[in-house]
Amino acid sequence: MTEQEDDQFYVERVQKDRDRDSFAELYSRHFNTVYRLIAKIVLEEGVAEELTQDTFMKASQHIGTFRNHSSFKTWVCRIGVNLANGHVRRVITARGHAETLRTDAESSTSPTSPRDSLFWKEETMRVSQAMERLAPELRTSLVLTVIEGLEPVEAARIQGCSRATLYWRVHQARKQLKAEMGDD
Amino acid sequence: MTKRMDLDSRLREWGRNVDREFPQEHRLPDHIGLADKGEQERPLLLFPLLRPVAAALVILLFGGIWFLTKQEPVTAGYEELAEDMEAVYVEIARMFPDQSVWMSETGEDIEIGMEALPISTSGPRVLLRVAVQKRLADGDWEEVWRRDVVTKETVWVNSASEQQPDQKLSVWAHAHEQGVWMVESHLELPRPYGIHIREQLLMETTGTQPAVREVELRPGLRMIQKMIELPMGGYGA
Repeated sequence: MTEQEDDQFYVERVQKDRDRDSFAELYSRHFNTVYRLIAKIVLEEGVAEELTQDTFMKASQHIGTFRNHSSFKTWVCRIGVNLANGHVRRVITARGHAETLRTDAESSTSPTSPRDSLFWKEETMRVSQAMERLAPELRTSLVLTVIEGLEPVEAARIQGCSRATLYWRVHQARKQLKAEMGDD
Repeated sequence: MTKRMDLDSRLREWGRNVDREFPQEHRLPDHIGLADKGEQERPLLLFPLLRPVAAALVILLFGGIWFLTKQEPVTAGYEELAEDMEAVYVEIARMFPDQSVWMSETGEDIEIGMEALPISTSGPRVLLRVAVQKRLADGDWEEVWRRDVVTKETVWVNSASEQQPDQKLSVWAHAHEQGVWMVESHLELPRPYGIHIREQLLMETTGTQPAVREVELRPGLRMIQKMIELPMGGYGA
């Protein structure tokens, strides 16, 4: 059986029998994928873990309404990406201005930053700071396609946008990052 | 890591560094339970902003050219409006050459927004109209809300009415190649219409891609062709 067929088996058991073990299996199979996406969008380890838990919490509450229009993996990734983008938007709103965001990104490299364990290397830090300046939609598009290597059609499904929109966002994100990081 | 690596390689390397810090525990936490069947009837709104709104409302996002013929356009006087708004816009932009300026008008008042230029704004100006029409009992359409926005491409416009701060409109347009434009819009009219919608559309200046659900989003835009030379030394020079 393919991964998707396996997932479907567990999803049906959850939907029909409220089988917690089956949902635990789905959780185990997809936790890494969801966490990896969210971590690269929110750029904070603790927040990523919390949002990943929230993602599966939502999935558990609504799995009864899941229909096989997409794979379970895509569905749960969409939930996670939406939560992550919502978090980033709230952070940006709280900061109020792009320049504030820039300053905060720079100050976040202080030794006391909770994300030190993830981004302590200079290069990694540079990329993290540049990523942090991207709008959430641009950041997510780049993570899904360039970094996670998803097919554009899958990445577009997860983001809930057209492929054309996705292409444009990746293009814009690359352009902005090149300007930020001096990469040609 | 060297500077000679291309951007995508640097990003992938960055992704691998982030991935090394995975949490190792993947056991389902106890606090995540499964709801009873009866509690699962409401579908999860993956995109809450796209939830259905009251029937019989039509969102129109269009410009000076009306592309669709299904109903009467609400563009009466639009050419004149475009000229007037552009003239005002150019004056304001001239007064604040270091600012990213946009202008929005409702027919009753004008809102002007500006901020320090975060991006290059050398692109063309566009006039965008967002209108809400309500279908009447006799099948005709009545415009109940409208906003016209002049901005430069790639500048996000975040417009909110002072009188009704819960009414918010964000629009953005970007010129692609060969006359194709990307338009993103986000409209919140919680009262009295219950509208909360976000859309991204690719469109050509000769056509539209209407998205039909409970509401119809009919986009259009007009690129403002007239270019006015700014005097050296800024306004009044």
